Amino acid sequence: MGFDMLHELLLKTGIVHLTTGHIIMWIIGLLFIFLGIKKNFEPLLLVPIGFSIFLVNMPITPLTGPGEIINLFFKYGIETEILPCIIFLGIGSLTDFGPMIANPKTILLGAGAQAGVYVAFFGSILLGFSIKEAACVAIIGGADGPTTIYLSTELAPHMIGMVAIAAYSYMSMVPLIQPPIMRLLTTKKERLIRMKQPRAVSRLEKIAYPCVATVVICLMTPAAAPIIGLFMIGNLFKECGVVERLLKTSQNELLNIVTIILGIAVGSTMKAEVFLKPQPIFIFFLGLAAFSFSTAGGLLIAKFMNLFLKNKINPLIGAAGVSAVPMSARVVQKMGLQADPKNHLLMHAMGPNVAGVIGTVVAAGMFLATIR
Amino acid sequence: MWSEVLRLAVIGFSAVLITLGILAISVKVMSFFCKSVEKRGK
Repeated sequence: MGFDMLHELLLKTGIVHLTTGHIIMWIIGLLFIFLGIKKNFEPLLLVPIGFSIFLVNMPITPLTGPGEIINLFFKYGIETEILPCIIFLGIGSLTDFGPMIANPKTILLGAGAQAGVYVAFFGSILLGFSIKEAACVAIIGGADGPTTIYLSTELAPHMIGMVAIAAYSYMSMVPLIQPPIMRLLTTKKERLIRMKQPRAVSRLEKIAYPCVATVVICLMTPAAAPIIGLFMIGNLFKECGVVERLLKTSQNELLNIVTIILGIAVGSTMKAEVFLKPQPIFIFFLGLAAFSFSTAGGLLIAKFMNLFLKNKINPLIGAAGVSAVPMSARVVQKMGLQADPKNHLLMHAMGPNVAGVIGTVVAAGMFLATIR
Repeated sequence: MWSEVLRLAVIGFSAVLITLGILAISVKVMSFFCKSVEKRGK
């Protein structure tokens, strides 16, 4: 009798349902938390994602089943695509397009840096992914987390967790991945190129820009409208100067609330039975390739443009075309200063950096338009 | 299969290049008009 009761009690606990897979996922979750806290790698995302991985891999817990709390976050936040779009509203309200408006030719660097997306697209197909899955893996090369999540929701919802985590991991590792490629593809002479100080951009230009960009991008890539539309509304809040309350909310409370829910929802997709397969390893490998080729694409297009330009651009700023705002622009600044301690490239790099965000959104929009 | 993949990649990358190219030109035109308006206002 006593033994039966003890047995029944044990069956109600998670202990007997615990598997090696769960424990491996706990370690992975804790590793993300460690990277966020100790190494400061994208802590705002890696901490909630890491804890969510840890939490959803507790056996028989009522968290991710139909109608349960984290399932609701996922169902209403991600499946409906609301959260990635709202994240873009927040990002828009924090983005300064001034350097890009001052030097519009740097927008092309953001286009060149999408090359890695298409290299990874071919690589993914070679490794056996379907076309829809390959598009989701490829977009990691754009180094833009919300766009990656948005595209995966539409094309391959079962891969959201893996691709989002790969994208955020590589974004946080920009300072490690980019410098060797930058050194390899530029000469010392090129790294020393000094660029003219960008001109001051007027308030009128900054207010007009979100409207112009919305017209161009929505007409060229209608499928990107949900993301680009909210991105530009956020930016208009910032630049118009008359909606202080909306701006503060977009930059702080709204962005923070959405980041928490997004992080938890994304992490919850990383359950042992889904994650512990060869596919995620391929995704991480392809993500790294995509990111590296995007960096190379930005650098090479800058060198190509220099063949025709009178006022040369420092090719290092091409590497900032991979988005990852503002981390990759900071890496460019650091590399520029290493070559010449008086050469400040940060403001020049911000142009391709924000153009890279738009480039990734357009690439995602085209995948949606052609594959969905 | 591969011809489809190649088609998607070519269309996608061309769209990125063309869209950002048009955006660059539009920004240039926008700046020109903004400067004109501001000059007239002074």
